[in-house]
Amino acid sequence: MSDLANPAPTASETVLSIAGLSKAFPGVVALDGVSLDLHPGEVHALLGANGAGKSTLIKIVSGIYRADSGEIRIDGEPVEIRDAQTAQALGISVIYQDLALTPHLSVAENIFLGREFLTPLHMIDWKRTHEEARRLLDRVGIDIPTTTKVRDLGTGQKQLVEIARALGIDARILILDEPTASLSHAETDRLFELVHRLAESGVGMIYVSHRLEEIAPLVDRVTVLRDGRSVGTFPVGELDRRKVVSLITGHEGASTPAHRKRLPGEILLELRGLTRQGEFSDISLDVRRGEVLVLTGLVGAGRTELLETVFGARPADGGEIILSGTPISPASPRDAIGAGIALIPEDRRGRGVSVIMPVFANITLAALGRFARRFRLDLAQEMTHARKMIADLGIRTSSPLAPASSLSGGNQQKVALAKWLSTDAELFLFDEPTQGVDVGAKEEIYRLIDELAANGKAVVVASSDIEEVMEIADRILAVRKGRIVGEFDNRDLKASVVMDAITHGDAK
Amino acid sequence: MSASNTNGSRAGAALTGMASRIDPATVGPAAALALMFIVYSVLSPHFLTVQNITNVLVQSAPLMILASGQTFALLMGGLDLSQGSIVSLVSVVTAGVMMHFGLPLGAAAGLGAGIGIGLVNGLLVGRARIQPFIVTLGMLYITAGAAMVVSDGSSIFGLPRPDVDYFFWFGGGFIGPVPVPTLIAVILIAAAHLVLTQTRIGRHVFAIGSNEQVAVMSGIDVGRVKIFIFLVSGGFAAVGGFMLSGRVISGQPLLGAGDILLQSIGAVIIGGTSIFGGQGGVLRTVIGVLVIAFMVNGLNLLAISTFAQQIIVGAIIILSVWVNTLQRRRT
Repeated sequence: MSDLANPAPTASETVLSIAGLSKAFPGVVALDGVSLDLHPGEVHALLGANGAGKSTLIKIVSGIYRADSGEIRIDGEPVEIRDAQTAQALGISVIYQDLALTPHLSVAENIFLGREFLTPLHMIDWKRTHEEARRLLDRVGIDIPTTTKVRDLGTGQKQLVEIARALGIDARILILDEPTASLSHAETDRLFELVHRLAESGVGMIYVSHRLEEIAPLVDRVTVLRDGRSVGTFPVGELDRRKVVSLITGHEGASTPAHRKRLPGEILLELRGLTRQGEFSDISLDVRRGEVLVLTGLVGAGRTELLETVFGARPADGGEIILSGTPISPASPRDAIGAGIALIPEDRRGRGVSVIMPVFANITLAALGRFARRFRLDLAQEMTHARKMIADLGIRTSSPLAPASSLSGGNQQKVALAKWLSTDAELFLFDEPTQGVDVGAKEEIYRLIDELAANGKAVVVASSDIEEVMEIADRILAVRKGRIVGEFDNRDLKASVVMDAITHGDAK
Repeated sequence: MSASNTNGSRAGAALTGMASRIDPATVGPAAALALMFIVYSVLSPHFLTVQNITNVLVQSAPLMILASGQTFALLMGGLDLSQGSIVSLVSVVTAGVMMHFGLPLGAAAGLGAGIGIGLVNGLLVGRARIQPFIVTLGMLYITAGAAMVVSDGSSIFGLPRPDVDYFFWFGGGFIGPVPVPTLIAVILIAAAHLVLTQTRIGRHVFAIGSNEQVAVMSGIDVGRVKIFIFLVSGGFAAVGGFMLSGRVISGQPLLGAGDILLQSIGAVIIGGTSIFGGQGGVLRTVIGVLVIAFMVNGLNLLAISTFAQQIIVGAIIILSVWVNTLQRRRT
């Protein structure tokens, strides 16, 4: 697999070759003369911060966008990829983060959607459909029945079904976009094994990721994008973590900031025996001003539900929520916001940011009262405020008037943050604040969380990223199956202790 | 000072999707309107006359008002199918009450009935959380039935003088050279535009249409905003119905049973407001109404049958959505 074993690649060994690709959107140059080549059987990592141009590159190669200039060659032949069908016909297939399967159809139907096998009477040939689907599922290594409905599959299984579909169209170029973002360890291992096998069978893969350490053993070469340009292509052996961070951010490898000493103040939030049937039970905790409390646990441990209950988005079945010594029972997010609570949700595009609204309107949405005059909003002041937030948080957008959909994921997350920083909230609830966010944006979000605590706000963060937990927490509560199973002070704590609690711990 | 004003007006424009002057979604319908003016002016000597233009503006004033209200419903990602029936109900209630108690009480009762239907729509959508399509489809029938019950199924003629003359004034009078219905329409359109672009509740309408979950999580009282939306949609339909009744100086239980509902929805769509909500505005709808009104007027002048006209209006609705879709796909 390594480059040492192979002679220098020649044009004939390049399955996909991209040269000088450029694409501009109104106000933003998304790609600026990017080149990249992919050999058969190669796993080529594509790294970069949010907004660096990875998504744009993928969308051009898969026919969703058209490049302004540049050339794409497949097997050395120049091609014009007009639309997704053309890309498919050329053997290019993309496995997206947001999975593109139809939930109410079976696995077999999904695999052959749009390319159904027909009997001579133009009815669907079910026997052949299921046989072929079985063959493809065996190739990717899952033993679920082909008649299973996609809605009944886990995320990891769905991903494998998507890959099976790609193999079904004889994809020779497979693009994986952050495929492990929501997979468990076991699922990730299985996916990696599959990537390895596909590479051996000659499929060329572009693997988009934020986390090089995770994929390093799989990868042959790495291309890093920054601000729409390629910073270079490197054999994976030449890179270490520091080098990657400095390539991605353009700064010399910033050392991880030491855990700051905070001096927590009075208790702001108390939960006493808070319970919601089937989601979490008997949760009691205190959060002080100037303190960052982290709830950690596996996906499905009940953290999101707990935060949403405190925020009034779900009714509690029992227990008490006490804010500044006064019991409250928020019946809606509106009530909670009125009491000074903010929630930055995990599902950014579904619940955090309204992507078709302009950036400025997203930033001010929860704080419109600040701009309300007698009969109307002071739009000029609103714009001034939005510009300030954009500058303060380093949100990369062509204009405050641009729709939020034109921003990268990390910048959308900063818009969601800006929205709540615009309110008078005293208690900030963060649900997986850095999921799918690049290294640079991650650091900035940590800095903001630190600032909030320093300014006397109380902060609760739900996170399953153990490095993140250790980095930002004052105190850590381990949650398992809806119960608190351990409490740790984050001073001389080992990550393994916390991990052990969230995976095996019993309720105290 | 002037810089910050520009800031503000651009912010309002960005919400309605008219941030840049060359925004294709706005230019398309406006260009169609301009092209129509040129073609009709060449083909018919009667088209580009003060008399004809005034006529069209007077006749299209009720539709302008209905469609402006309808824009609110589409912006939140819904629609209001009960507008036509509200026109009918307002007509017979106004005329019926006016017969015995005079115009002021007739107007109050008629407009009140229309706004009441809007309120019921709003409560069912906003509080009972039923789909706008279902609620207003049901109310379409209920309100149409109520109009027939109130009037016993027949037209109400012979309204008392002098009230009937004032009544007509609202539907066809003039202040100097300015037709009253057009004036009322302009005032309501301006108010609707200001509410949508410059007020908090207007912003909430866009927020709900853009992503209702985000609106809820941002602390917006979504139910209250929806009630407001259907009050506007129903209230505007009531004013339109009042005007139309004034023009025919009678109460007509089938006054809104014809084209006007579908034209109201069609005009919003032709104007370029998204049927999925969150993008669009009242000024676009004005262009949409003008496209329909002048299209029909020109075809009349060219002596093309009303049957053929329907085919053309339908084609324009599909075409305008198609053009919009193509433009969105390109970006």
